[in-house]
Amino acid sequence: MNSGKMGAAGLDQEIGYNPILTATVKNEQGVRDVGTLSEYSLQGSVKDEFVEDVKNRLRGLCDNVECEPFIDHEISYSLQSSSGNAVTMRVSRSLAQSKMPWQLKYVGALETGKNKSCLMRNQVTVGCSENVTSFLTELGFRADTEFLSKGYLYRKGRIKVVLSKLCKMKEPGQHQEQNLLPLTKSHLVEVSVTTLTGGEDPGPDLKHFAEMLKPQVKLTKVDHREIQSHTRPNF
Amino acid sequence: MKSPPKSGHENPCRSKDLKIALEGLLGKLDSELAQGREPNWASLLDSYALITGQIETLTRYLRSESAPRLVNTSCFPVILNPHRDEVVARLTEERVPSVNHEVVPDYLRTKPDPAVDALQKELNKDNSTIDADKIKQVNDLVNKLVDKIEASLDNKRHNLENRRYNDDDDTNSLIGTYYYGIGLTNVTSGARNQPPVNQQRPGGVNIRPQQPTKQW
Repeated sequence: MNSGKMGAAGLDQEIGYNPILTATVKNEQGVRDVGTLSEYSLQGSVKDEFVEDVKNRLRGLCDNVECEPFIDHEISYSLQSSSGNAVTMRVSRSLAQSKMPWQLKYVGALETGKNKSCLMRNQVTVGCSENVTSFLTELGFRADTEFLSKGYLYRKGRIKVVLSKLCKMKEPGQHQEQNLLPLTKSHLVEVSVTTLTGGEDPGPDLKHFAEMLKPQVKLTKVDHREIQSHTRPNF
Repeated sequence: MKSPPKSGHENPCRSKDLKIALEGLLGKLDSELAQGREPNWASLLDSYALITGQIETLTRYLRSESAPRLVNTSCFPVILNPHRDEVVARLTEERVPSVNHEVVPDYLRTKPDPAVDALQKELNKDNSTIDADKIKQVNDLVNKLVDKIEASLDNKRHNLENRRYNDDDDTNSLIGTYYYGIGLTNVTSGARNQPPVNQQRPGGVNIRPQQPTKQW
Protein backbone atom coordinates (compact mmCIF):
# COMPACT_ATOMS: atom_id res chain seq x y z
CA MET A 1 0.00 0.00 0.00
CA ASN A 2 1.52 3.25 -1.03
CA SER A 3 0.76 6.12 1.21
CA GLY A 4 2.11 9.34 2.47
CA LYS A 5 1.01 12.46 4.27
CA MET A 6 -1.11 14.71 2.10
CA GLY A 7 -0.32 18.21 3.15
CA ALA A 8 -2.10 21.39 2.22
CA ALA A 9 0.41 22.00 -0.55
CA GLY A 10 -0.67 18.72 -2.05
CA LEU A 11 1.75 15.95 -2.51
CA ASP A 12 5.32 14.97 -1.98
CA GLN A 13 5.74 15.47 1.68
CA GLU A 14 7.49 13.30 4.14
CA ILE A 15 6.62 9.68 3.86
CA GLY A 16 5.38 8.63 7.26
CA TYR A 17 5.08 4.93 6.79
CA ASN A 18 7.25 2.35 5.09
CA PRO A 19 4.92 0.03 3.28
CA ILE A 20 7.58 -2.36 2.24
CA LEU A 21 7.97 -4.82 5.03
CA THR A 22 10.97 -6.96 4.66
CA ALA A 23 11.82 -10.13 6.41
CA THR A 24 15.43 -9.19 6.68
CA VAL A 25 17.68 -8.81 9.62
CA LYS A 26 20.81 -6.75 9.81
CA ASN A 27 23.75 -8.05 11.74
CA GLU A 28 27.54 -7.79 11.52
CA GLN A 29 27.73 -9.98 8.46
CA GLY A 30 25.22 -7.94 6.56
CA VAL A 31 21.60 -8.27 5.71
CA ARG A 32 20.10 -11.72 5.98
CA ASP A 33 16.77 -13.02 4.94
CA VAL A 34 15.10 -14.73 7.86
CA GLY A 35 11.98 -16.07 6.31
CA THR A 36 8.78 -15.33 4.49
CA LEU A 37 6.12 -12.90 5.48
CA SER A 38 2.50 -13.84 5.88
CA GLU A 39 -0.43 -11.56 5.82
CA TYR A 40 -3.30 -12.34 8.17
CA SER A 41 -6.42 -10.45 7.30
CA LEU A 42 -10.12 -9.90 7.80
CA GLN A 43 -12.33 -8.12 5.32
CA GLY A 44 -15.60 -6.35 5.34
CA SER A 45 -17.34 -3.40 3.80
CA VAL A 46 -19.30 -0.38 4.83
CA LYS A 47 -21.77 1.70 2.85
CA ASP A 48 -20.51 5.04 1.63
CA GLU A 49 -22.85 7.09 3.77
CA PHE A 50 -21.39 5.58 6.94
CA VAL A 51 -17.75 6.01 6.06
CA GLU A 52 -17.37 9.13 8.16
CA ASP A 53 -18.69 7.27 11.21
CA VAL A 54 -16.17 4.51 10.65
CA LYS A 55 -13.38 7.01 10.20
CA ASN A 56 -14.25 8.67 13.47
CA ARG A 57 -14.32 5.36 15.24
CA LEU A 58 -10.99 4.38 13.76
CA ARG A 59 -9.52 7.69 14.77
CA GLY A 60 -10.44 6.85 18.32
CA LEU A 61 -9.33 3.24 18.21
CA CYS A 62 -6.09 3.55 16.33
CA ASP A 63 -2.74 5.09 17.09
CA ASN A 64 -2.66 8.77 17.70
CA VAL A 65 -1.50 9.65 14.21
CA GLU A 66 -3.54 11.35 11.53
CA CYS A 67 -4.97 8.91 9.06
CA GLU A 68 -3.07 8.71 5.82
CA PRO A 69 -5.04 9.22 2.65
CA PHE A 70 -3.79 7.40 -0.38
CA ILE A 71 -4.58 6.95 -4.02
CA ASP A 72 -3.13 3.79 -5.49
CA HIS A 73 -3.15 2.59 -9.02
CA GLU A 74 -2.87 -1.20 -9.07
CA ILE A 75 -2.24 -3.31 -12.09
CA SER A 76 -2.18 -7.05 -11.96
CA TYR A 77 0.02 -9.02 -14.27
CA SER A 78 -0.12 -12.70 -14.92
CA LEU A 79 2.19 -15.17 -16.54
CA GLN A 80 0.77 -18.32 -17.93
CA SER A 81 3.30 -21.03 -17.33
CA SER A 82 3.62 -24.15 -19.45
CA SER A 83 2.22 -26.32 -16.68
CA GLY A 84 -1.06 -24.47 -16.87
CA ASN A 85 -0.76 -22.49 -13.67
CA ALA A 86 -0.77 -18.75 -13.76
CA VAL A 87 1.49 -16.65 -11.64
CA THR A 88 0.14 -13.24 -10.72
CA MET A 89 2.03 -10.21 -9.62
CA ARG A 90 0.69 -6.80 -8.70
CA VAL A 91 2.24 -3.51 -9.47
CA SER A 92 1.12 -0.72 -7.28
CA ARG A 93 2.03 2.92 -7.49
CA SER A 94 0.93 5.91 -5.55
CA LEU A 95 -0.79 8.67 -7.45
CA ALA A 96 -0.75 10.89 -4.41
CA GLN A 97 2.89 10.50 -3.57
CA SER A 98 5.21 10.74 -6.50
CA LYS A 99 8.30 10.16 -4.34
CA MET A 100 7.16 6.76 -3.20
CA PRO A 101 8.70 3.88 -5.06
CA TRP A 102 6.50 1.66 -7.11
CA GLN A 103 5.73 -1.64 -5.46
CA LEU A 104 5.82 -5.09 -6.86
CA LYS A 105 3.80 -7.49 -4.80
CA TYR A 106 3.45 -11.20 -4.93
CA VAL A 107 0.48 -12.55 -3.05
CA GLY A 108 0.26 -16.24 -2.54
CA ALA A 109 -2.81 -18.37 -2.42
CA LEU A 110 -4.97 -18.48 0.65
CA GLU A 111 -3.87 -21.01 3.17
CA THR A 112 -6.86 -22.80 4.48
CA GLY A 113 -7.53 -24.63 7.64
CA LYS A 114 -4.56 -23.68 9.74
CA ASN A 115 -5.80 -20.41 11.03
CA LYS A 116 -9.43 -20.48 12.07
CA SER A 117 -10.00 -16.84 12.82
CA CYS A 118 -8.61 -15.02 9.82
CA LEU A 119 -7.36 -15.40 6.30
CA MET A 120 -3.70 -16.07 5.82
CA ARG A 121 -1.57 -15.86 2.74
CA ASN A 122 2.09 -15.46 1.95
CA GLN A 123 3.18 -12.22 0.51
CA VAL A 124 6.34 -10.60 -0.75
CA THR A 125 6.50 -6.90 -1.46
CA VAL A 126 9.46 -5.11 -2.95
CA GLY A 127 10.08 -1.57 -4.01
CA CYS A 128 10.96 -1.00 -7.61
CA SER A 129 11.48 1.68 -10.18
CA GLU A 130 9.02 2.91 -12.71
CA ASN A 131 10.09 0.61 -15.48
CA VAL A 132 8.80 -2.45 -13.68
CA THR A 133 5.96 -2.67 -16.16
CA SER A 134 8.27 -3.08 -19.14
CA PHE A 135 10.39 -5.46 -17.09
CA LEU A 136 7.41 -7.71 -16.43
CA THR A 137 6.31 -7.53 -20.01
CA GLU A 138 9.79 -8.63 -21.11
CA LEU A 139 9.53 -11.56 -18.75
CA GLY A 140 6.35 -12.59 -20.43
CA PHE A 141 3.76 -11.27 -18.02
CA ARG A 142 0.63 -9.80 -19.48
CA ALA A 143 -1.32 -7.01 -17.83
CA ASP A 144 -4.61 -8.39 -16.65
CA THR A 145 -6.65 -5.86 -14.86
CA GLU A 146 -6.16 -2.53 -13.23
CA PHE A 147 -8.09 -0.41 -10.82
CA LEU A 148 -7.67 2.59 -8.66
CA SER A 149 -8.06 2.42 -4.93
CA LYS A 150 -8.62 5.62 -2.97
CA GLY A 151 -8.88 5.69 0.75
CA TYR A 152 -7.40 6.00 4.15
CA LEU A 153 -4.84 4.03 6.07
CA TYR A 154 -4.95 3.64 9.82
CA ARG A 155 -2.59 1.78 12.09
CA LYS A 156 -2.88 0.32 15.53
CA GLY A 157 0.35 -1.23 16.62
CA ARG A 158 1.08 -3.84 14.00
CA ILE A 159 -2.50 -3.91 12.73
CA LYS A 160 -3.04 -2.08 9.49
CA VAL A 161 -6.55 -0.88 8.68
CA VAL A 162 -7.34 0.11 5.15
CA LEU A 163 -10.56 1.86 4.23
CA SER A 164 -10.73 2.15 0.46
CA LYS A 165 -13.01 2.90 -2.44
CA LEU A 166 -12.25 0.89 -5.54
CA CYS A 167 -12.69 2.57 -8.90
CA LYS A 168 -12.68 1.13 -12.34
CA MET A 169 -10.95 2.95 -15.12
CA LYS A 170 -12.96 3.42 -18.25
CA GLU A 171 -9.92 3.73 -20.45
CA PRO A 172 -6.85 1.68 -19.64
CA GLY A 173 -4.23 3.79 -17.96
CA GLN A 174 -6.43 6.84 -17.64
CA HIS A 175 -6.60 7.65 -14.00
CA GLN A 176 -8.09 11.11 -14.17
CA GLU A 177 -11.15 11.82 -12.09
CA GLN A 178 -13.55 11.96 -15.03
CA ASN A 179 -12.43 8.59 -16.24
CA LEU A 180 -13.15 6.72 -13.04
CA LEU A 181 -16.15 4.63 -12.26
CA PRO A 182 -16.63 3.83 -8.59
CA LEU A 183 -17.42 0.20 -7.96
CA THR A 184 -20.42 -0.47 -5.71
CA LYS A 185 -21.69 2.04 -3.22
CA SER A 186 -19.48 0.76 -0.44
CA HIS A 187 -15.99 1.08 0.83
CA LEU A 188 -13.83 -1.96 1.35
CA VAL A 189 -12.42 -2.36 4.83
CA GLU A 190 -9.49 -4.62 5.38
CA VAL A 191 -7.72 -5.24 8.65
CA SER A 192 -4.43 -7.03 8.41
CA VAL A 193 -1.21 -7.93 10.14
CA THR A 194 1.89 -8.83 8.19
CA THR A 195 4.36 -10.85 10.15
CA LEU A 196 6.87 -13.65 9.80
CA THR A 197 5.40 -16.97 8.86
CA GLY A 198 5.27 -19.37 11.72
CA GLY A 199 5.38 -16.69 14.31
CA GLU A 200 2.77 -15.88 16.89
CA ASP A 201 -0.75 -15.97 15.53
CA PRO A 202 -2.20 -12.45 15.36
CA GLY A 203 -5.68 -13.89 14.84
CA PRO A 204 -7.00 -13.06 18.34
CA ASP A 205 -5.74 -9.48 18.07
CA LEU A 206 -7.46 -9.04 14.76
CA LYS A 207 -10.67 -10.57 16.05
CA HIS A 208 -10.63 -8.30 19.06
CA PHE A 209 -10.16 -5.28 16.85
CA ALA A 210 -12.93 -6.44 14.56
CA GLU A 211 -15.32 -6.62 17.51
CA MET A 212 -14.71 -2.96 18.21
CA LEU A 213 -15.78 -1.93 14.74
CA LYS A 214 -19.16 -3.60 14.96
CA PRO A 215 -21.92 -2.94 14.00
CA GLN A 216 -20.76 -0.51 11.35
CA VAL A 217 -18.32 -2.91 9.82
CA LYS A 218 -18.66 -6.66 9.93
CA LEU A 219 -15.14 -7.93 9.52
CA THR A 220 -15.11 -11.59 8.75
CA LYS A 221 -13.02 -14.28 7.27
CA VAL A 222 -14.73 -14.14 3.93
CA ASP A 223 -14.92 -17.36 1.98
CA HIS A 224 -12.87 -16.59 -1.09
CA ARG A 225 -13.79 -19.76 -2.90
CA GLU A 226 -17.42 -18.69 -2.81
CA ILE A 227 -16.45 -15.34 -4.21
CA GLN A 228 -14.30 -16.79 -6.92
CA SER A 229 -16.96 -19.10 -8.17
CA HIS A 230 -20.22 -17.30 -7.63
CA THR A 231 -19.84 -13.59 -7.47
CA ARG A 232 -21.24 -11.53 -10.22
CA PRO A 233 -19.92 -8.01 -10.00
CA ASN A 234 -22.34 -5.70 -8.26
CA PHE A 235 -21.77 -2.71 -10.50
CA MET B 1 -78.19 20.11 69.24
CA LYS B 2 -80.25 17.00 68.80
CA SER B 3 -78.15 13.89 68.15
CA PRO B 4 -79.01 11.58 65.25
CA PRO B 5 -80.72 8.27 66.03
CA LYS B 6 -78.48 5.30 66.64
CA SER B 7 -77.53 3.78 63.32
CA GLY B 8 -76.80 0.19 62.33
CA HIS B 9 -73.63 -1.51 63.57
CA GLU B 10 -71.95 -1.33 60.16
CA ASN B 11 -72.15 2.40 59.96
CA PRO B 12 -69.53 3.17 62.59
CA CYS B 13 -67.00 1.06 60.66
CA ARG B 14 -67.49 3.01 57.48
CA SER B 15 -67.55 6.35 59.12
CA LYS B 16 -64.58 5.33 61.19
CA ASP B 17 -62.62 4.45 58.03
CA LEU B 18 -63.63 7.72 56.53
CA LYS B 19 -62.54 9.54 59.64
CA ILE B 20 -59.19 7.81 59.55
CA ALA B 21 -58.72 8.67 55.87
CA LEU B 22 -59.62 12.31 56.44
CA GLU B 23 -57.27 12.49 59.37
CA GLY B 24 -54.56 11.03 57.19
CA LEU B 25 -55.08 13.65 54.54
CA LEU B 26 -55.09 16.49 56.99
CA GLY B 27 -51.99 15.11 58.62
CA LYS B 28 -50.19 15.02 55.28
CA LEU B 29 -51.17 18.58 54.50
CA ASP B 30 -50.16 19.83 57.89
CA SER B 31 -46.79 18.14 57.92
CA GLU B 32 -45.94 19.30 54.42
CA LEU B 33 -47.05 22.84 55.07
CA ALA B 34 -45.26 22.98 58.37
CA GLN B 35 -42.01 22.14 56.65
CA GLY B 36 -42.78 24.73 54.02
CA ARG B 37 -42.37 22.28 51.16
CA GLU B 38 -44.60 21.92 48.19
CA PRO B 39 -47.12 19.15 49.05
CA ASN B 40 -46.62 15.78 47.41
CA TRP B 41 -49.47 15.91 44.91
CA ALA B 42 -49.34 12.26 44.14
CA SER B 43 -50.01 11.22 47.71
CA LEU B 44 -52.64 13.92 48.12
CA LEU B 45 -54.43 12.65 45.07
CA ASP B 46 -54.27 9.17 46.52
CA SER B 47 -55.90 10.40 49.70
CA TYR B 48 -58.59 12.21 47.73
CA ALA B 49 -59.31 9.07 45.80
CA LEU B 50 -59.54 7.05 48.97
CA ILE B 51 -61.87 9.51 50.64
CA THR B 52 -64.06 9.76 47.58
CA GLY B 53 -64.36 6.00 47.54
CA GLN B 54 -65.33 5.86 51.14
CA ILE B 55 -67.93 8.62 50.81
CA GLU B 56 -69.35 6.72 47.89
CA THR B 57 -69.66 3.54 49.95
CA LEU B 58 -71.24 5.42 52.77
CA THR B 59 -73.82 7.13 50.60
CA ARG B 60 -74.61 3.88 48.86
CA TYR B 61 -75.19 2.28 52.19
CA LEU B 62 -77.36 5.09 53.33
CA ARG B 63 -79.51 4.77 50.22
CA SER B 64 -80.05 1.09 50.79
CA GLU B 65 -82.99 -0.42 52.61
CA SER B 66 -81.14 -1.48 55.74
CA ALA B 67 -79.97 2.02 56.59
CA PRO B 68 -81.94 4.19 58.94
CA ARG B 69 -84.01 6.82 57.22
CA LEU B 70 -81.81 9.82 57.87
CA VAL B 71 -83.60 11.94 55.28
CA ASN B 72 -86.28 12.70 57.75
CA THR B 73 -83.80 13.84 60.35
CA SER B 74 -82.08 17.14 60.36
CA CYS B 75 -79.39 18.67 62.45
CA PHE B 76 -79.75 22.26 63.45
CA PRO B 77 -78.41 24.35 66.27
CA VAL B 78 -80.85 25.26 69.01
CA ILE B 79 -78.66 27.30 71.32
CA LEU B 80 -75.29 28.85 70.55
CA ASN B 81 -72.96 28.73 73.50
CA PRO B 82 -69.49 30.21 73.43
CA HIS B 83 -68.45 28.09 76.35
CA ARG B 84 -67.18 24.56 76.18
CA ASP B 85 -69.81 21.84 75.90
CA GLU B 86 -68.66 18.53 77.35
CA VAL B 87 -71.26 16.32 75.61
CA VAL B 88 -70.48 17.67 72.16
CA ALA B 89 -66.78 17.53 72.83
CA ARG B 90 -66.99 13.89 73.85
CA LEU B 91 -69.18 12.95 70.87
CA THR B 92 -66.90 14.64 68.38
CA GLU B 93 -63.69 13.43 70.04
CA GLU B 94 -62.55 16.96 70.84
CA ARG B 95 -62.89 18.18 67.28
CA VAL B 96 -65.76 20.47 68.20
CA PRO B 97 -65.24 21.67 71.77
CA SER B 98 -68.13 24.15 71.68
CA VAL B 99 -71.17 24.95 69.55
CA ASN B 100 -70.52 28.60 68.88
CA HIS B 101 -71.07 31.11 66.09
CA GLU B 102 -67.82 30.18 64.35
CA VAL B 103 -68.40 26.46 64.21
CA VAL B 104 -72.03 26.41 63.11
CA PRO B 105 -71.87 28.19 59.71
CA ASP B 106 -68.85 26.15 58.76
CA TYR B 107 -69.84 22.64 59.83
CA LEU B 108 -73.53 22.86 59.02
CA ARG B 109 -72.99 24.50 55.66
CA THR B 110 -75.20 23.51 52.74
CA LYS B 111 -73.67 25.77 50.13
CA PRO B 112 -70.00 26.45 49.50
CA ASP B 113 -68.31 29.43 51.09
CA PRO B 114 -69.03 32.66 49.09
CA ALA B 115 -65.41 33.10 48.08
CA VAL B 116 -65.14 29.49 46.99
CA ASP B 117 -68.48 29.76 45.23
CA ALA B 118 -67.30 32.77 43.22
CA LEU B 119 -64.09 30.96 42.25
CA GLN B 120 -66.02 27.92 41.14
CA LYS B 121 -68.38 30.08 39.07
CA GLU B 122 -65.40 31.77 37.47
CA LEU B 123 -63.82 28.46 36.54
CA ASN B 124 -67.06 27.07 35.17
CA LYS B 125 -67.90 30.19 33.18
CA ASP B 126 -66.13 29.04 30.04
CA ASN B 127 -67.92 25.71 30.09
CA SER B 128 -71.18 27.12 28.78
CA THR B 129 -69.75 29.68 26.36
CA ILE B 130 -67.54 27.40 24.34
CA ASP B 131 -69.16 25.45 21.56
CA ALA B 132 -69.23 21.74 22.10
CA ASP B 133 -68.38 21.22 18.45
CA LYS B 134 -65.33 23.36 18.69
CA ILE B 135 -64.14 21.44 21.69
CA LYS B 136 -64.52 18.22 19.76
CA GLN B 137 -62.65 19.71 16.81
CA VAL B 138 -59.73 20.81 18.92
CA ASN B 139 -59.67 17.44 20.63
CA ASP B 140 -59.59 15.60 17.32
CA LEU B 141 -56.83 17.84 16.02
CA VAL B 142 -54.66 17.26 19.05
CA ASN B 143 -55.27 13.53 18.86
CA LYS B 144 -54.31 13.44 15.20
CA LEU B 145 -51.15 15.41 15.90
CA VAL B 146 -50.16 13.09 18.70
CA ASP B 147 -50.78 10.04 16.51
CA LYS B 148 -48.60 11.50 13.77
CA ILE B 149 -45.78 12.21 16.20
CA GLU B 150 -46.05 8.73 17.63
CA ALA B 151 -45.91 7.16 14.18
CA SER B 152 -42.90 9.23 13.21
CA LEU B 153 -41.06 8.30 16.39
CA ASP B 154 -41.83 4.63 15.89
CA ASN B 155 -40.58 4.85 12.34
CA LYS B 156 -37.34 6.48 13.38
CA ARG B 157 -36.75 3.95 16.11
CA HIS B 158 -37.44 1.14 13.67
CA ASN B 159 -35.00 2.61 11.16
CA LEU B 160 -32.31 3.03 13.76
CA GLU B 161 -32.69 -0.50 14.99
CA ASN B 162 -32.69 -2.03 11.54
CA ARG B 163 -30.06 0.15 9.99
CA ARG B 164 -27.88 -1.75 7.62
CA TYR B 165 -24.36 -0.44 7.59
CA ASN B 166 -23.02 -2.86 5.09
CA ASP B 167 -24.15 -4.81 2.10
CA ASP B 168 -22.97 -8.39 1.82
CA ASP B 169 -23.24 -8.33 -1.95
CA ASP B 170 -21.05 -5.28 -2.02
CA THR B 171 -18.54 -6.93 0.28
CA ASN B 172 -18.26 -9.95 -1.97
CA SER B 173 -18.06 -7.83 -5.10
CA LEU B 174 -15.35 -5.64 -3.68
CA ILE B 175 -13.29 -8.57 -2.50
CA GLY B 176 -13.74 -10.30 -5.82
CA THR B 177 -12.59 -7.22 -7.65
CA TYR B 178 -9.69 -6.44 -5.39
CA TYR B 179 -8.24 -9.91 -5.19
CA TYR B 180 -9.36 -11.56 -8.38
CA GLY B 181 -10.18 -8.75 -10.77
CA ILE B 182 -13.78 -9.87 -11.17
CA GLY B 183 -15.75 -7.40 -13.20
CA LEU B 184 -12.78 -5.46 -14.45
CA THR B 185 -12.05 -5.31 -18.14
CA ASN B 186 -8.90 -7.02 -19.24
CA VAL B 187 -6.31 -4.44 -20.12
CA THR B 188 -4.76 -6.09 -23.13
CA SER B 189 -7.61 -7.93 -24.73
CA GLY B 190 -10.48 -5.68 -23.67
CA ALA B 191 -12.60 -8.62 -22.55
CA ARG B 192 -14.45 -8.47 -19.26
CA ASN B 193 -12.67 -10.47 -16.66
CA GLN B 194 -14.65 -13.49 -15.58
CA PRO B 195 -14.22 -15.34 -12.31
CA PRO B 196 -11.24 -17.65 -12.69
CA VAL B 197 -13.12 -20.92 -12.23
CA ASN B 198 -15.23 -20.38 -15.31
CA GLN B 199 -12.36 -19.56 -17.59
CA GLN B 200 -11.35 -22.07 -20.17
CA ARG B 201 -7.61 -21.84 -20.31
CA PRO B 202 -5.97 -24.60 -22.23
CA GLY B 203 -2.40 -24.67 -21.08
CA GLY B 204 0.23 -23.26 -23.32
CA VAL B 205 -2.10 -22.18 -26.09
CA ASN B 206 -3.15 -18.95 -24.57
CA ILE B 207 -0.27 -16.79 -25.66
CA ARG B 208 -1.59 -13.55 -26.94
CA PRO B 209 0.07 -11.96 -29.94
CA GLN B 210 2.67 -9.43 -28.99
CA GLN B 211 0.97 -6.12 -28.64
CA PRO B 212 2.65 -2.90 -27.76
CA THR B 213 1.69 -2.51 -24.14
CA LYS B 214 0.66 0.89 -23.02
CA GLN B 215 3.25 2.78 -21.05
CA TRP B 216 1.98 4.36 -17.92
